[in-house]
Amino acid sequence: MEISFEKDLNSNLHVKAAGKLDIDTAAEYGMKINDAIDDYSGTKDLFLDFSQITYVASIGLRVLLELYQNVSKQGGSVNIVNVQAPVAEVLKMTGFDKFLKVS
Amino acid sequence: MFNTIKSKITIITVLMLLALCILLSAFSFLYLKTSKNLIIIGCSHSIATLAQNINKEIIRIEDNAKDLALQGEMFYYIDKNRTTAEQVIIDLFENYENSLGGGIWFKPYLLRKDKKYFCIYAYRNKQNKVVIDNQFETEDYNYPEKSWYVEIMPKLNEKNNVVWSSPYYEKEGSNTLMMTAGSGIYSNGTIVGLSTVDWEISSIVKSVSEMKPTPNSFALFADIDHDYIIASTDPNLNNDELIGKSVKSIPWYKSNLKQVTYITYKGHKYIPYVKTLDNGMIYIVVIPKNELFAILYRHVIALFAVLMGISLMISALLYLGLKRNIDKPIDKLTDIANKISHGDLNTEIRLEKPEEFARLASTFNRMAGDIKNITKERERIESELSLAKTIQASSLPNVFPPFPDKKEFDIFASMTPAKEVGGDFYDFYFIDENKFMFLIADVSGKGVPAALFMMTVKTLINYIAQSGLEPSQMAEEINRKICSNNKQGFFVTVLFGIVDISNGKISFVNCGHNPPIIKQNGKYEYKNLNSNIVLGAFDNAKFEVDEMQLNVGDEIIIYTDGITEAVNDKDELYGEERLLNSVINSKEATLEEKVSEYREDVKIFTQNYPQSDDMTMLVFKYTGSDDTKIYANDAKKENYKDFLNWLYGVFDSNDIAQDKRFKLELVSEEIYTNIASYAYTDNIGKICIETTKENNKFIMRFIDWGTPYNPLERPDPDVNFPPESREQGGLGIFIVKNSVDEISYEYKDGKNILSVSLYL
Repeated sequence: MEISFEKDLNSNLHVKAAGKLDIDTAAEYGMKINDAIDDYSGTKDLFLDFSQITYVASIGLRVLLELYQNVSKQGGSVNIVNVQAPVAEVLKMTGFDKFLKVS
Repeated sequence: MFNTIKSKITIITVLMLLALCILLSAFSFLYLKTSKNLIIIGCSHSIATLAQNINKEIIRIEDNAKDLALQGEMFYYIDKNRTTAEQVIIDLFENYENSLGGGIWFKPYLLRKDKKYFCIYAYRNKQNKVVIDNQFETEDYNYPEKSWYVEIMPKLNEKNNVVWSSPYYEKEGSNTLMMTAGSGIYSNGTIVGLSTVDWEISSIVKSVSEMKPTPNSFALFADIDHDYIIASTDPNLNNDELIGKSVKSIPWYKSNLKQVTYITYKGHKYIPYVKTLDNGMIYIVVIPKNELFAILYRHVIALFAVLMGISLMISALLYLGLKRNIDKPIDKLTDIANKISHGDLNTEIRLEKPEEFARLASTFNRMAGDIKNITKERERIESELSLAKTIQASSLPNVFPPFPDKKEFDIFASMTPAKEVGGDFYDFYFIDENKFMFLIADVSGKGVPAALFMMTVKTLINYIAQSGLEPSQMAEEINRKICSNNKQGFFVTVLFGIVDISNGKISFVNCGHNPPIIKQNGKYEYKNLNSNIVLGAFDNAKFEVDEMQLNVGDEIIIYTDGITEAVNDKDELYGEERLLNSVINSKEATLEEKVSEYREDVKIFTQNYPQSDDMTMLVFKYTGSDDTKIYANDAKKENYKDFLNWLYGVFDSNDIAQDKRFKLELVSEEIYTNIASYAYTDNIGKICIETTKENNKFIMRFIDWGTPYNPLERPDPDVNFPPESREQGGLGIFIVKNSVDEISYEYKDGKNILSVSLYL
């Protein structure tokens, strides 16, 4: 899975990836982001660009939950941007939109 | 029994004989009358003959008396020769045998003064010789005192006049009954004596007595002038004593007997025959009337008896003749006719007499031959018709199920023609990959012409149906083609059904056919479709289409009017209601069994009443697009990718939209990972996924053989729970539940089966 990171001036980490967050890829996606957070110390908020994420299953949701728990410990937030409708629906169905900032 | 030829002929003959009898009776009656007259005439005649004979005697006697008187005159005038005179008298009586004798007697003292008595008398003695008797010229005899002399002499008043004495018994002579005829002997106009001729009348009496035309007839012979009975033969009287008595002694005598046709005497009728003789005597023969005609009656009775006998004989002969000449041949002919009617056409009747029956018999033989030929011909036609029936039957699809690999529908149809070949037909086939067309049709008319037209129409429909036209256009085109080549004016009612078996969409085109029975939502009902005109009527007809959605389990029952218009012996129609009830009440499972049950119900209704129209039924059942696909593999996460690839293929083949694919993939992943993670304690086991598309519903079944576990019993995670402390489990099944339209779980035969459905 191709994944790119970008740190802006406000110490926010922007993550852009393409593909599905399923049983195959979700773990890798979570692990790489966690690595990036560790690499870029002092990361405040996490911005996940979902424009290229076509699919999220429960395993993907668990990855997102772990990321949230990790970031929120340091006072940061998890933002999901450019989300596609089906994925947004899953987030809404499971109540993840209540703690993740979906836009 | 009076209607047979035999009895009729007998009756006619008997009537004819009867008529003949009546005719003969009439004739006999006339004959009787005539015969009676003839008998009467005959009797009169014989009596008259006798009278005539007597008269002849009398005339002769009178002539002799006159002759004698002449001799007396000659003797008195000329020679007075006694010898000569005696000889003359002897000669005279010699020649006349019936006379006892006679002579000439002169008045006393006339011839000689001294001789008071002068007479010459000759008589026939016992030796039959005529001799002179001289004993009368005595005082003893004193002839002028004799009764005959006294009686006759005064009455003689003219020459050649003859006077008869009364009958008297000659006491002196032979003591026989006699009469004397006397004639005067004249001299110069003065009577000088008389001649006498004695007539022995006993011979006459004998003749009269013998005059017996019938056994009980009798006679009376009398001298009326002298009122003296000469003879009577009346058996009721003492006749001997009557002689010489007055005719008044005869009880039946009347003076006017000549005018009387019959007299009644002692209770019997008698016919009197009266003859008056020249000397004034009468002669009466009395004949009992019944005896007179007895012979005649006997003859008539005999004639009748003979006639009746002949009639009876003719009748008997006629009866026997008829029995022989009519009964027997008719029995033979009847026998042969029975044999022929029972199909024994090889029998031959042999009859040579009588000719009419021989002709009839040969006609029978010819007829048997003709029937044999006709039967042969008919058998040939029947075998051809039976062949036609086979061809027709084989032209209809009759292998069921016709498409064993197609699970989307079931179909069964049957056609029973009324005659050998029928005008009904059904047909079904795919007109493209998914579109299946079935139809039922009823051609106007029956028999071979209808069957030929039916074959044409069937082929035509098949041909045009394959052209991919929309149902209404297809119907129009079929109609145009039928019209373009329909000189005989046939038409056909057709009900088309075109089903897309992939989704259950059906289009009906009803061209003047009976409405179908359709089962929807488990309920059978007649479905009123747009009614179009029959095919073959107008070449530019338009056709309206009915469209419906079939669901799994829906049925369509179509039929021809041979079913609904089947008639029983009470002239009742089977009708749509009975058909619907029969369909509703059917307990059978397969379509074939159902159809045979429907047909059985019609049969029970009509009993043995003959089928008048073709009976055709077709039943279509939609069972859905049953293309179940199965994936089976070890329940391992590593195999998920492989399963997913398979699932994508299923999605592609079912043409599933993107958003549905997303949900289905999501659901599949959650369930798959659940099974792969938790179903088997040692993580070794199988997983099986079946997908089915039923119309617009996509069904997936996830099967494992692991620990029984119903994921639906697991409580949903609280989506409002703070994320910091959220549990991770249960989210997957929660997603599943919220993503599908239907979800169910069952544990069956050691299998956990989780079924999910999504409407597409």
